[in-house]
Amino acid sequence: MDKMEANKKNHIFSKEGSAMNAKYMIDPSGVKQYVCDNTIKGYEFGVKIPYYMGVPLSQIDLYKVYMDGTEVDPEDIRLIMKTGEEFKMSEILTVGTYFWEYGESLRTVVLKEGGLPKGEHELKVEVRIAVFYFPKDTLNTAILKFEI
Amino acid sequence: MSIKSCVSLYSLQEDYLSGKRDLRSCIEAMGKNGIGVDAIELLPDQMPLPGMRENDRVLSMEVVDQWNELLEKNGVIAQSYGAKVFTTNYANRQLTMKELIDIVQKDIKMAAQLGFRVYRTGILRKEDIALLTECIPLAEDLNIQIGCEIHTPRGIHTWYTQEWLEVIQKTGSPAAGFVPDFAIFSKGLSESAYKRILRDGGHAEILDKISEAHAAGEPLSVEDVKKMGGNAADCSAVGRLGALIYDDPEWLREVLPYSKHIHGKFYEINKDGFEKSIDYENAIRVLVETGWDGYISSEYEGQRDYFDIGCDIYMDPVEQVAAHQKMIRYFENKAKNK
Repeated sequence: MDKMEANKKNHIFSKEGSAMNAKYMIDPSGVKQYVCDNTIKGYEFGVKIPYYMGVPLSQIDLYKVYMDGTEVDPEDIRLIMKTGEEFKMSEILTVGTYFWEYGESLRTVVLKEGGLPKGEHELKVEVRIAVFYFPKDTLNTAILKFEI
Repeated sequence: MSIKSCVSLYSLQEDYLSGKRDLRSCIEAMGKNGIGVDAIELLPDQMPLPGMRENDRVLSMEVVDQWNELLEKNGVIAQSYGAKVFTTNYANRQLTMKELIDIVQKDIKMAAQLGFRVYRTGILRKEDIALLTECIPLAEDLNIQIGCEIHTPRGIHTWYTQEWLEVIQKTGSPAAGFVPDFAIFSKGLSESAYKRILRDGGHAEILDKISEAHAAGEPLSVEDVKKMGGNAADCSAVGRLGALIYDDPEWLREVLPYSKHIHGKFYEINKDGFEKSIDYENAIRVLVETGWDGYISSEYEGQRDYFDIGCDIYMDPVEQVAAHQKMIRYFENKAKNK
């Protein structure tokens, strides 16, 4: 059994979350260590859009990650496009030509030297897409309890 | 004269979201080797075409040729282009009128490039009337109709519809019209909503009372439901029903002369073959009586009620759409044989 499969075994989506497309929001492949140049430089996971269409990154009003109850510093988050380009949270407001497509698992990396320690963890993702007819406080939340 | 068949690929959204199908496979499932409808409706911002993003909605000839070939092979035409309403491309501001006109015109050009006959959009804000009016001459040149959806919570007699009707009549342009959505004839909770509320912890006997009161025109309030012992799930039914509208299907006669396309919104076809929450019977009777010969696009939406965490029910959208098409024919024949 490879590491990803092992992860999946202790892999529970929490009902506490509330989101459009709830059961699809966090990619079922779960959370894995982010390896770059043979070094663990953080962890990563995929998120599917809580909307029924794709939007440019500039249309993402809020994108927060919490690990084990603590909010991740937005400057440590990288959104990685299918073409390899990376964007920081502080940059996405001006990214009008790269899209988070419907059904795309948006590769989300959290930079953290050494990655996640072995054991049980809880990932929470909060997303808001700016859409004219959504109330301003609309929040899509998905929670995954997993073991690494 | 008869009603022509169409499917909005929006109906297949779960298969696309989960990665089970791509755009090609969606079209194949609907075409002559699948359920065999005449036409399709596409939301390009849901299922984008190659190069569409990179080239800001200007498609290459190669992509257009491949698209035409795909449709031809599957025996369907490009009927309706489901536009995104572009106002919030940047999360911190609304686009200006000039920006919007440029974007919508570019979008209409892409729709025409792909051979669509109807550019389905909507009026969400008062300014959208002026915005779309600006685009009528372009649509007329490109032989495509700007169809404003008549969508709940607004109906046929609300100002959004009435003001656009004035524009249509004043310009006299065939490039301005409507896309009525049949959810404006909603009678009560859909099968999918009812089942979802039960899974969320609601009570069948309370839901039935809420539904009866709604049908009798004396809707219960959240307070009433709480007094009956209803929980949060039961109370959610009040909100759902409150968002529905029921227009008299006879009013369709006022907008049908300007409509080439209809959204056959449905939530769930039950085991008897009917969508019991929407008044399809009377709406289709009016279409038959007026000799309307446009397209009804099956627009399946109830799958989303099964997207709750822990729910492993999968509703096959192809089966649902096929059952919906059958229901339309049933009511059409019933009205014709009267």
